[in-house]
Amino acid sequence: MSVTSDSVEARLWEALRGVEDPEIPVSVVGMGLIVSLAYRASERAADLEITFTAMGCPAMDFIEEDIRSALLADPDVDMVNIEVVWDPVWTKDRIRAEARSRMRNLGIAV
Amino acid sequence: MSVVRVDAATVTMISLIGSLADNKGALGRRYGEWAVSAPTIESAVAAAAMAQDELGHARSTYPVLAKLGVEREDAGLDAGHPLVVISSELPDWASFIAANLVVDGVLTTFVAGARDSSIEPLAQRARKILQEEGAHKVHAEAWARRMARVGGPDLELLVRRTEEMWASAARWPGPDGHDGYTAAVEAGMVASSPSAIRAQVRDWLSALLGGVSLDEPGDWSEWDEQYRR
Repeated sequence: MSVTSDSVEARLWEALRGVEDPEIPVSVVGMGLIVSLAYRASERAADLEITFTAMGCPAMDFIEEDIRSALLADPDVDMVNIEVVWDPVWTKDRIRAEARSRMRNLGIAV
Repeated sequence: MSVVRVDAATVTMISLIGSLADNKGALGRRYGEWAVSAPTIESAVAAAAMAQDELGHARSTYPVLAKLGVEREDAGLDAGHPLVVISSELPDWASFIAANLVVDGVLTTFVAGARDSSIEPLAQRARKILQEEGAHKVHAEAWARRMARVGGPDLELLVRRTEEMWASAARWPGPDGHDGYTAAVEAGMVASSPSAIRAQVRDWLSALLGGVSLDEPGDWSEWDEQYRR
């Protein structure tokens, strides 16, 4: 992987940290929804694997739209491929420490 | 519906997966209809949550068909061919509990046998579905125990509804020794045979509801292999 791809990926992760779950003010990264992220410089494409807390999550479409918008805002990204995966199965263990702390401050037991 | 690959195992799995999604969608609708009229507010909230789960299972399962080379034009929550017993509004709360116990019980037991399926997209979804179905089982068992404790007409109705649901849902896995199903087991697509699924659910329900009569289905001559009913 080139240095350029690394730096773009780092920016994309940062962009994802700005995408919040519509139901809880915690980022999709903090919630542990992002399974993988890769940038293909030759295609100017971001490939993302995401999982959700529940198969019936009513916010899935919104979250995907928000992610797509956030990643397409990067000057080096022309294409975003999002694949929903159910393995690994999401559990509370996937919530990152900083998000866990924020949720506790909001009165949400995790 | 167009089927590209036609080996017996794949054809059977297409039927099972499509019907699984159809029945999940129907269960979601039936559960949702009780989200405003369950006996307690807690149960109404649970019905809404279970409905959301089932609709999610249906939506997530239909795409597995595409991985098997099937484009189903009618795939969607308004279409499908579910079991007759859940194809229209459930008449009473006992039916709701019986649908959860029996229909969801049979489907979930099948899904458990697909946890390590050689059809990877099915295996992936199976693990997530099983995680979510755990709560449905707790709800069904709690209500069954409550009604068994109280006894009387409520329990009699639950036993009757359970038997009615069983007569339909027990046929869903199909006859034992079915060529396509046997080939699917041999190919590692699914682990449990039809009779093993029925036995597991029957043993569980018999322990939960004494006096319930759950016979092995007999005449398969008019069984619809595509819609599994």
